[in-house]
Amino acid sequence: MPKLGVKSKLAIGGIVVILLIAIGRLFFPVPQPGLELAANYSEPFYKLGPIYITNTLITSWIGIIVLIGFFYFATRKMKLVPKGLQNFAETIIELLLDFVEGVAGKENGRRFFPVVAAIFLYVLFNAWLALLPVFNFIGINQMQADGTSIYVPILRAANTDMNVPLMLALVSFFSVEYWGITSLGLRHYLGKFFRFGQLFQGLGQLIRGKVKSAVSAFLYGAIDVFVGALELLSEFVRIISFTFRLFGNMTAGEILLLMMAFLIPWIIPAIFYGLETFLGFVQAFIFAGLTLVFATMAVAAHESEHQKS
Amino acid sequence: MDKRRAEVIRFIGIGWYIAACILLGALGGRWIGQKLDGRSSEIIFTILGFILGLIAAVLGVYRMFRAIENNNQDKSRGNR
Repeated sequence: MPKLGVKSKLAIGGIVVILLIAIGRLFFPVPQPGLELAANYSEPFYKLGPIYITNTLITSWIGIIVLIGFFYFATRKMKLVPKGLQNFAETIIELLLDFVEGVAGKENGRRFFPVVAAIFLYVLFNAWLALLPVFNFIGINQMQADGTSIYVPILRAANTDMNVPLMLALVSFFSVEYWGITSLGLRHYLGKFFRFGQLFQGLGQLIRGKVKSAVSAFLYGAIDVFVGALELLSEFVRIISFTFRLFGNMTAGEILLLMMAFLIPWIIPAIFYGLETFLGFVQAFIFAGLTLVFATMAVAAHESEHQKS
Repeated sequence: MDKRRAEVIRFIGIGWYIAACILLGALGGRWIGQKLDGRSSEIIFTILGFILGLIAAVLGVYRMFRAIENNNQDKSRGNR
């Protein structure tokens, strides 16, 4: 077989891709995907008391069942020397525990571990579950009030529903605040955000008649108050940034997969499935990692800052 | 080289096995649900079929990997 140069290899690759597109479009047309940002529910099967059962809710239930099932079977017959499934589960848990303890330290790491690991595994399983072939593919056409019909997939990735990232963000937010308050004490923790110490000092100096130092204390006090307010704001902004980061990334990934499957039905989407597998891991890692970092920052005493100044 | 190729083909087979299990499960579930009429039965049976397919896929892949592992271990013992 003659050796081919880089150029001819590229040319052959390009021709193959174009051929794949042509064959796919001519003989195996894929219907144009329609994706709605709001989670849908299908008509007769949508209410459980006051709760709407959407397709993303069903998916997240399946994700929970898979996680519980996996760890149930992995820990059913525990042995000191792990084998098979138990070995696999222990590897995952140990890697996560090492990571958490590496960032937060031994003592705090043990406290943060359950929440951080649960967030990581939940996001990861939901992201990877959504790459299975059933998702977005089996659905029903549903008539709407105005006579048009829309396509409603029975299962859709849970992370593409805004409510799931929001739920995780709230869990992360409240956990971080709880850890901060319990390890520093309420007064000390709130002191991070409401820094009036220097302002009051300046007031005291003004009463004592030291005008010059009072002015500088007031100046630094005003900066301190402003910094505290910013910290307080950033605490709440975290909820929004957590939510939209996960939601945006996962929704964009889903749209990318659907569009690639629509444009080039053969072989090429597999590359993007690989990309999405990696992206699901990265997103889970970012969510859990940021929660961990914020928790570590929240429990860190900030005495040293004051002593310096 | 041939050995490697056989192994690659084996792994591709595992991929096809996962996809086939899950798809057949879900499509079969949907078919049963449609026979039983009523939309909610269609949805419920599709999801049930999907979960059954998932379980079958996981168990099957686990067995296949065990088989590959045992095979490799036997080979390495034979080489010694």
